[in-house]
Amino acid sequence: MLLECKDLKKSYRRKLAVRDITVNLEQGRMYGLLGPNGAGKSTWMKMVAGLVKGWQGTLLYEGHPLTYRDKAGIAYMSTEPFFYSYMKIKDVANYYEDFFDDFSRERFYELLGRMELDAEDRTRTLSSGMAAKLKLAATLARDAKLYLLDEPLNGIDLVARDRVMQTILEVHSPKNTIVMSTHLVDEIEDVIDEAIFVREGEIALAGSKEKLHQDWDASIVDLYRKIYG
Amino acid sequence: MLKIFKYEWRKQLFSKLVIGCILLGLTLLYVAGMFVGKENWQEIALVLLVFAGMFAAMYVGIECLIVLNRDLKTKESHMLFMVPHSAYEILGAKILAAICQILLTGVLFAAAFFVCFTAYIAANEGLAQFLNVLRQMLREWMDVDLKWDQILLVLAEIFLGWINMVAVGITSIIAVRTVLANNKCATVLAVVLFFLLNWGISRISQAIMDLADGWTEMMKYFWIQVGVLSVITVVLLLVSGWMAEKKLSV
Repeated sequence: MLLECKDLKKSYRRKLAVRDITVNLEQGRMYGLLGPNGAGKSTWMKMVAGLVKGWQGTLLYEGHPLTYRDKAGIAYMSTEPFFYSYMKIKDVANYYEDFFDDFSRERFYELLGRMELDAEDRTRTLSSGMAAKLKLAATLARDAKLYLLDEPLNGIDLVARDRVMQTILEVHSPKNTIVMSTHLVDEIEDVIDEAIFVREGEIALAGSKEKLHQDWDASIVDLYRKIYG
Repeated sequence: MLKIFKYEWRKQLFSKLVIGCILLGLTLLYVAGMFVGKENWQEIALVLLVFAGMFAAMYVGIECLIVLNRDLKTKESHMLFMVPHSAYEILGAKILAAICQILLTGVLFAAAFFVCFTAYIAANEGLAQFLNVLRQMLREWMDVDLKWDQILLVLAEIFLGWINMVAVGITSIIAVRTVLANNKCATVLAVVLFFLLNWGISRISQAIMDLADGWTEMMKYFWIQVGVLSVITVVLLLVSGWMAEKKLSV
């Protein structure tokens, strides 16, 4: 098992962001983390990425309690732009290369070309769509064991979405695991292996796409409507 | 840690470029004033150099705290904390960058004053006279009153006092951001906590120093002060590192 989460809880002062999440992630699978805004998807991802602390429960990565060293194998992409404002796009490559051994500069520049980004542009001047593409390029240029993509399609236009999904599929292999959080369920239904529905900080329903189809006789989109409708 | 240091250094570099440009401008104004015989240019340049020095020392002294607060307030914190390094290394790199930045600022000012001084001596009394004055000054410093170990100890105390202030600032910011996350009042509360902690620490160190009050030996008194400051600073940094490692969410 790549990741085991048991009874995870996280609250910010009085507000409970994650009430109780128990979920396991297997290597080689692609997961869709589904739920409306505020369901606790981002907080859970940040907990696994080591950015949210002070939680309760058990979080095991490759069988051991998660530590900062495990970030070397976890590629996290937050939903908001996070690059230093003084950076040019090419500086982002230097940063990732300095800190992540699994980062490929060639792959990054290839992805920049595909996303129509210029390495000389400053990150602070990018539009939200371009910033979203840059986040993806930097994250997917890593050869990580676990990819945590928080709303990867946010801010990306309809035409570019296909290209982004294609790139994510290219990265996916039996050696890694991808978790994509989104509320654009119809966009990812075809590509995910597993669906995890999160509601009010808890797992409302989880399982492989095939099993969910069998058990509920409904598509992932229909299940989404049923759970949150 | 050196890789983190590299990016922390870069974050604070812009202000040093601005300070460097101001110093260059003022130095040129002074030198130009001297060569064209405009004494008021020289006076203005020197007064502005002194003011710039005071302002720069204050700003650069707390710049690393401003940067840390901005990091934690914005999503840029993800850049800092997504790397596979511990919070202790991250804070260590920030402090190292702060030390190097203040040293750089000091070197810039020393260079500016040195150029002005050298130009003055060279223009008014010649290089030979300047070297004589320099030699005489050094001889006086070495022979009379000034003892180098005392000077070094006082400098160490000033340096430690500043590092201690930075450590208090880091502790305040991390404590407030840990409890209040992105609350709008977090920055103000961090400033309040900074002053409260400073007050508390000054009371503690004063109480310890009072025990050594009867000691007439100045060196011993300074050594104790340096020791107290060092212990408090290390404790504060360890507490900050622990909070950032275990409790701080970004």
